[in-house]
Amino acid sequence: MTGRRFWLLIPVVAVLLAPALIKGQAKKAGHGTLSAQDRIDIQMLVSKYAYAFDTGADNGYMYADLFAPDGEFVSENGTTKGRDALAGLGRLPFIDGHKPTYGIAHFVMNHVIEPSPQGATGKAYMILVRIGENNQPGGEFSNIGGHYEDVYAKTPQGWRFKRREFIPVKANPPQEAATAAPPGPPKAEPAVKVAQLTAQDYLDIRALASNYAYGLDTGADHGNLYAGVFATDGEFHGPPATPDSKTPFDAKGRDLLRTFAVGGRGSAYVRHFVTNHLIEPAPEGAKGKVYLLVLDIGQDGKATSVNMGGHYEDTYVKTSEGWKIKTRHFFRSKSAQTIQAEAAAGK
Amino acid sequence: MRKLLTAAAIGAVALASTGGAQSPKIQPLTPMDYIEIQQLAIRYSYGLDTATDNGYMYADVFTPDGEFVGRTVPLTQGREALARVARSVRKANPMYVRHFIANHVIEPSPEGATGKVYVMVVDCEEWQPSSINIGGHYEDTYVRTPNGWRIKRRDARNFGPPRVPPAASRQ
Repeated sequence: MTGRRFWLLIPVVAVLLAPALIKGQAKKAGHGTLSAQDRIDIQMLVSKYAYAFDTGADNGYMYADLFAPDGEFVSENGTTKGRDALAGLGRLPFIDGHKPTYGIAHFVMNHVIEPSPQGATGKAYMILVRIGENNQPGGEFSNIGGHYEDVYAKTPQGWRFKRREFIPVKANPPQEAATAAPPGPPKAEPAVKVAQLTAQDYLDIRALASNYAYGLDTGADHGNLYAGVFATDGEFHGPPATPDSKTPFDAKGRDLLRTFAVGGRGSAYVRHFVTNHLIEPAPEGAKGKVYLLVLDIGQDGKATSVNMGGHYEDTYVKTSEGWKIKTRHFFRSKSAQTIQAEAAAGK
Repeated sequence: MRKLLTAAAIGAVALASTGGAQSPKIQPLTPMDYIEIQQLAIRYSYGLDTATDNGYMYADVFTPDGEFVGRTVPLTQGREALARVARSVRKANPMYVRHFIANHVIEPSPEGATGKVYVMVVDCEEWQPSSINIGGHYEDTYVRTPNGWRIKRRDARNFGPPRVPPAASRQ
């Protein structure tokens, strides 16, 4: 090969390889082929599910039409497939033999979406709430809660459920702490400067808060799913677990953070319900606040109870691994009267 | 014949253009529009639970003439009236959380966008038992203003039977 021919071949090879390289980089970044619009459309689909099931609108067909023509819903009671069968499910009276009196029951939170070869997959927490039943004001948490595992497909009518499975909450015994830490997530490179937040940035940051909950509740990957939502030098600060304890929850760095999640209770355990994720640009990248409701969903005859409620205050940085939590502080909910009383008592 | 065909073609074009003007034009929403509207609904909770900026954080999620229609409050309209409502929440402060929202559906509309969102109002207090004070859903109309998306109207629906006496809570 002459020198000239060799140099001519370089751009040709580069053009041929470029798509594969770009594809590889995109896959590495974790975005696959889902656009921000795809993710928004899937969010809307998942939100509509609650309205459709809780109201039985259009004789159940609003519910059925959220599924692809060959879509299916799977639960402990079996598999429901096909439009008419799904519409029948959509009409199902599921609270004391009727639909929710006020048309409100399924509260779905912690929605995570991932690209997949079929389109996309997702997970979301669900707690069934009884509002105003038996003519009682207010509401109560039912013992029906858990999470959905979804497969989404893009059809000519838009994104639809290809498969939705409801997995009721189940608490496995806490994992035993590993004597030696298994390999954790790779080290994130220093933060990337962010001028303005894009729609994709908001979506990625929101996914962090949801994955935080999955990581903590399940203990997945020996706590590394949880630790991996933080930057390498990320930190968490929270108040003591009980009124008598003086030991706050403080940890900095993924090795220490991982230990918080090691006691996770397995893939069907749901406890940290997060919502109201407010995100704003900040000099270091972004900052945010998220509401938290820790629900002990009733099992073995026990009633569901709220373990605690409060909010996180976060800072986020964009790293070579994508957006990560740099700092997270948790605050339990307190009324103005409690804060005044504490101030008066010199606390 | 050729003149007739030309006239028919011109007529068809004219009909097509006037036909479009009669039906309301719905602009599609961009991903950023959805995000901003989602953030707006979230700011509503923070504004009400914390009463930040003397209630104006809450008031400013609405348009200046925006309105809230509740079950126990027939209509609250305008920035000052809305800010007063947020200031009237006795427990409000930056540590307080109460309005948990879920299932936010947003759709484009001729005015801008409409939406629905579930809410459960949970009385959460450190070291004390929590309970659901109330729950229901909002039906919203959103408009784009020079300051971004705002709630034009929020209507609280399906909030269950009222407490007696009515709870001093915003729905």
